Amino acid sequence: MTSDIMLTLIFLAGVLAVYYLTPRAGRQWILLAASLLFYLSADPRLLLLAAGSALWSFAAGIGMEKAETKGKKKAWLLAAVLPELLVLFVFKYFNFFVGSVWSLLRVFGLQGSVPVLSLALPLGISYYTFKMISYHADIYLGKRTAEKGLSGCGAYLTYVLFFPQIVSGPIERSEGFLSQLHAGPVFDAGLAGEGLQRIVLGLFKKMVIANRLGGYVDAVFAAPESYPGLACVMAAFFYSFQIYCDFSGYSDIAVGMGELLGIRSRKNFDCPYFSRGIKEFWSRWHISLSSWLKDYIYIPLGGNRVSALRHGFNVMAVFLISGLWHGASWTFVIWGGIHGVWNLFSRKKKPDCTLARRIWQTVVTFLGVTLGWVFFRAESLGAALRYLKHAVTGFSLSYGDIQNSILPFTGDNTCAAYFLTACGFLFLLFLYERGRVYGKTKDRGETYLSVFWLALMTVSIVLFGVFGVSGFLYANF
Amino acid sequence: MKRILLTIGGALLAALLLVLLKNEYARLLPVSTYGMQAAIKEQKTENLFIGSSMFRQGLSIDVLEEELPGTSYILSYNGNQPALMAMELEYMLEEGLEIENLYIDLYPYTAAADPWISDTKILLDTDLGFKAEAWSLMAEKGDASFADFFEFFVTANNEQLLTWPVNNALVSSQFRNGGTLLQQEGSTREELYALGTLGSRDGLNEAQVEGYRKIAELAGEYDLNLYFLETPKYERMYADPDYMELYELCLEQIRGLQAGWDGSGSFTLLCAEDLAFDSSDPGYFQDLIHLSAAGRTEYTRQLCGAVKEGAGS
Repeated sequence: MTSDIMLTLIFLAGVLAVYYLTPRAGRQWILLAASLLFYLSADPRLLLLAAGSALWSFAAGIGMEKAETKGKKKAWLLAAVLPELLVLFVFKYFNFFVGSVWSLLRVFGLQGSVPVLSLALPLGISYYTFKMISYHADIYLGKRTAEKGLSGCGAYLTYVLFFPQIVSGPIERSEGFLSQLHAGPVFDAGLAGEGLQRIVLGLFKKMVIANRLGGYVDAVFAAPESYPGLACVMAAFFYSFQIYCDFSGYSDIAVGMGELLGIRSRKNFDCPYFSRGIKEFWSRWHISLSSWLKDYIYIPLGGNRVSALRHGFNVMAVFLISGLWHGASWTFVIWGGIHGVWNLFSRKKKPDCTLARRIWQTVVTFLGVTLGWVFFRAESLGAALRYLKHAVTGFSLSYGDIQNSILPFTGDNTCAAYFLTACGFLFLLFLYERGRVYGKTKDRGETYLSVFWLALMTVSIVLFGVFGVSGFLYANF
Repeated sequence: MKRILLTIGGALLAALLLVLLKNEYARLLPVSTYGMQAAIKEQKTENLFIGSSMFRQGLSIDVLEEELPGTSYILSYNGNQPALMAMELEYMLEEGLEIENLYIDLYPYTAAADPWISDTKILLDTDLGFKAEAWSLMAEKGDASFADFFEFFVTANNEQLLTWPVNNALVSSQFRNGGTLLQQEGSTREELYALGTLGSRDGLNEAQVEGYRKIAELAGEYDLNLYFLETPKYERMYADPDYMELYELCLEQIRGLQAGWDGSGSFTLLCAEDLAFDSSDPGYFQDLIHLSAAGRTEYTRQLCGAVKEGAGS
């Protein structure tokens, strides 16, 4: 259920029926039960870990609030955050860290086998760990009070394990979420309508575009040398769209599901490929993570109110942590490093420049981001470099290479139809998002879909959705 | 909220309507150079070859037209099975296609498989009645699920239909009278050996055996000359005991049909081993089971020679 979006939506339908039949005061308990049941379907043992972490985090929050001195508060903060980070480290980073250290030791001639932990990555661990840390940091900074009592405990557990957001976020902040939960969510037709539109938009991005491109991208990235350089270039661009549609599609579905349950969330994406620079890109891409990193790492480190050197360190720290958050591999670190360096050397773009210049800036930003995705997607640094080398040295626009570059879509004579269809849907997405950024619909609410777009996306999901592809790319992070 | 629900509901109804239209009327789109509708449009063909990719890769339309009297048409779908071939033959005969000589692909692995629509092009070429019959066969004899139903009736071929003017022109340029015009090169011995074998199956499938019987019955009813053809496979396939076991079982079934044949036309079983085709020449093969362009030309010449001589077992 955790990896199949259609099953999740069926589960939601069942939850909604029980949820709105329950009196307002009891709805948070229905949400908690549904979230526990949802997590249980992934792994009962990992549910114990997640719920145990959340319970300790809840207790530490109370301890922190009751602490009378700053020193004691800090001690509670460490007591809350360090175990959370330790669990994250053991499950997600131990093998990577030990493997890297071992590789270094081998350089100095030391031999021996690498100790490896065979542990399944708990569902949503990167997301719920960051949620819990932000909760503690907010209490520590006096931005909020700790949750207390049985109701507070239930609400906090629901916040940490909230089933629509556990798989791939967004990383919701506690304040907004918990205040809505305490108020007792009510059915709001306007909000539910917005939620439905978000779900349709998310399903369109995920089923019609991301799943369609996924097979092609997987085939080419698995064996780039077997395809022409043109295919590598195409796969890099397609991966840019795949990861965007996959992740933002999930975010739309998750936020939409929340809205159907009467809980409003912040947007996580805002047409990022229309950004005119890397700074703008990060204000539009995975907003819940980038704002989390800004609020809880960048600003506490001093932000930009420090020396140039220290500022550089702060920026690089944020992006390297962002890279590591995405996965325990050097490719993610390098990807974070590329974005960090690019951020350091980029300036905010002037809003009043010519259309041609704006288009140029948008194209350059998209090309740079796409280049970065190659490192993000590749199995290793060597594989990424080989991929890029082959994309350049093996590139030609001969008829045979064009044919062989389209072939990976299906492997037979239907590949041209699939390629053209994929390009057609990408163009539709471009038109839709262009309208959101520059067109008439930009002031019509965050999720406004005209009758035309809503109908078109619904028909497209039914007729062109690629079903049977389970999982979301960002669920692995 | 009302606007949204009405729009989504309307869109779902529109999608349902499009699905119904597609399944019944997509076959009426301008015909291409391959598939059932193109054959039906011909109204008459002296030599109809029905098979899988073995026929597409194994038969040269140029050589057939040159060597055999009358016109020839190759109807090939990927993985086409006897049970489906029988339905396709019946469908085309009922649509008025006139045939004299019928050639059926004898590929043991398809005869051992559960009945299945292995190529969605079949769905593009047929009406709702055919699809419903094929689905009931698959559901009854195989393990078809709701996901398969959704794929076959709702999502299959939508990309081809959406891009029809471009895609049909592109794909049709690769065929003439169902025969492929692509010139695939042969492989090396090492490449062929690296491909391995296709694995074992548990005997012939009952529905496929019934398909062979139905084909013979239709051929008898319409006074056709019936040929069962086994296209050459690379020598390694003939050394595979699993393949050979199925091969022998297939031959046994066809010989049984031949023994009971009471049609006015002829009944011929023609295997690769009956010809002087060199199955050990890697240049004749694209992979273990499909011929290269050179192998296709050579095999078709030998086949036509044997047919003209009236040879067979």
